[in-house]
Amino acid sequence: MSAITSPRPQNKIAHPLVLVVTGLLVVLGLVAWALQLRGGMGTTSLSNLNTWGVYIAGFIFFMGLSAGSLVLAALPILFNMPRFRPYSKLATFVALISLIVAGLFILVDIGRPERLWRIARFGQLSSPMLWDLLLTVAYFIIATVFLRRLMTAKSDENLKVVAWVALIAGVADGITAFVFATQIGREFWFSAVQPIAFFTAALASAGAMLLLLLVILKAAGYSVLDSRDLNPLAGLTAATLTLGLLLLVSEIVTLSFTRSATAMALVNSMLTSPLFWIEVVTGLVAIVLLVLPVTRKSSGWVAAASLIALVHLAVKRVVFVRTGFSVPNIDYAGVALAPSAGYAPNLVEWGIMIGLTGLFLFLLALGFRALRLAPQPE
Amino acid sequence: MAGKRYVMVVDTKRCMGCHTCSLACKVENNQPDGIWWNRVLTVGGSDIDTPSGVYPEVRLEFITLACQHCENPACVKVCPVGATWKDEETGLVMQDPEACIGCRYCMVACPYTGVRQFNFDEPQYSSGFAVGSEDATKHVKSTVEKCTFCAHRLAKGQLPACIEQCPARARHFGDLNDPNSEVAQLLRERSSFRLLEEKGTEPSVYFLT
Repeated sequence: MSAITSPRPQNKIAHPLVLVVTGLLVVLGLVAWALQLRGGMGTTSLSNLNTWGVYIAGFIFFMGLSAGSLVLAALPILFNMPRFRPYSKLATFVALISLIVAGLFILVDIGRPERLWRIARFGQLSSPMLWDLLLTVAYFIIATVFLRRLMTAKSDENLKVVAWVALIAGVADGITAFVFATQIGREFWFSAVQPIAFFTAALASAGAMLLLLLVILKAAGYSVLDSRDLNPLAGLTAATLTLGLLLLVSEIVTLSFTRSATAMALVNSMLTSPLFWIEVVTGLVAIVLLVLPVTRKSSGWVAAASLIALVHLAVKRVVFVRTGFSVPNIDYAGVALAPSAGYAPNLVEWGIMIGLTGLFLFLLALGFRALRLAPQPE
Repeated sequence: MAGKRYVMVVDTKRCMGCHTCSLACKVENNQPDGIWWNRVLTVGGSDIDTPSGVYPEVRLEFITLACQHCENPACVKVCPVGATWKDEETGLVMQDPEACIGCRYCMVACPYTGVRQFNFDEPQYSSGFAVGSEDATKHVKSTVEKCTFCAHRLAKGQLPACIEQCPARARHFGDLNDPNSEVAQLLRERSSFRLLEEKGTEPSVYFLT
């Protein structure tokens, strides 16, 4: 039996029931997508004024999770971190499956997915969206090769090159931000801070995801790392979450200082949006829980903090996309192009979001079953 | 550049906000329900056709808003498949509904709110039959569309429908690269502005003041 497929699958985590439940979520998502394909994008709550919504936010989130996970998988190999080294395979697998989910979030956002082949045939290099698609393809190749090498390489020396490539690719997640940061028509996005903010959030999401998984692995008896061992990862997650919030403050200060009408309207639309405050509060709570000595000693609290951090980062992406559309450049009265109410995802969008998140969990459980992602303790 | 540079010049002192240009455009191009390539916007109160201020100190003006056929179009740069492009010969920004993949990035990139519109549903027509020119752009579900400066009419030597049908004669059209054209003369003689000039897109629609 080769080392690639496990003789004893990690069934406590990949219990058949987990596969059934997450599989049902995937089916729900497929039904929602079928409804959307049949009825057109009119079945979503997107409009001519709120052109992009939660699908694009989902893409940013899972792309970031993929990038951050590549970085976290590469670090222990490159910089001698023996405690975390056994989990490089897990992180790489997370990178691969979140990338698949990210790509599907783009697919469901495209009005005519049957024409996607045109990108290969008529792709325009001037488009930041093409940069993103190339990055997605690169991540897919890198994560696949990295995972394969992690399962077959005899020693870490043989992994150095691919680990460096993965690290650099992960850092390049900021390229995703150029889709938004290059747009002069969208004042909130048009900022050089976005690539940094994207990478910061990417690392935070990967840190939180790995923390959560390590706590679950420990509870299931597959990991020997206790909460003290997790401190460096908790520290990294807390630091990147903090930097993310500081960048948000910096954006609000620079926008407010101009006192231009559109900038003030933007700041106002953020400060009066409940979602923005959910982003801020969940971020602060996660940081406090990861930093306070009392809570960071407890696996339960670390897991809770990680979950809250993931919610914070998902909400952050929705706030980011929505704020880009919150203040129209030309708002004189005329025939209505969209319902006057702002954008909120409807049932079809929720169905697809839940389905794709379910797919992530399904693939993760499948990974534990088939690839034995975490080493078996002696 | 040797080609033409078609521009539209709208006289805000003559425009009376009658919306005829919007309807002329809608009919000529057989636009589906809910799609308006050319809209008349009220510069005044918060509702359409209402003035700002308190009587007798009230103000009411109009601008018309459609694709600005920019010299430096934000939409062309972002389209991942080249479904929107700048025609070298005429300077028009064109859009091919058969090539568009429906990603809506051009709508995100365009600073001019709502000039690019998406067919969220299968195009529906309350008239029950097709109207306008047979050679006008077709409308395709899940693709983006917009004003073409009536490229199909220009090809036949005609003026855009909105220009021809404006009852106040507030709209002018022509080649700005030709110094003797009506639009070039108007822009020499009258003061004008363009929308969102600070965005650097170099729009081809001028408003006389």
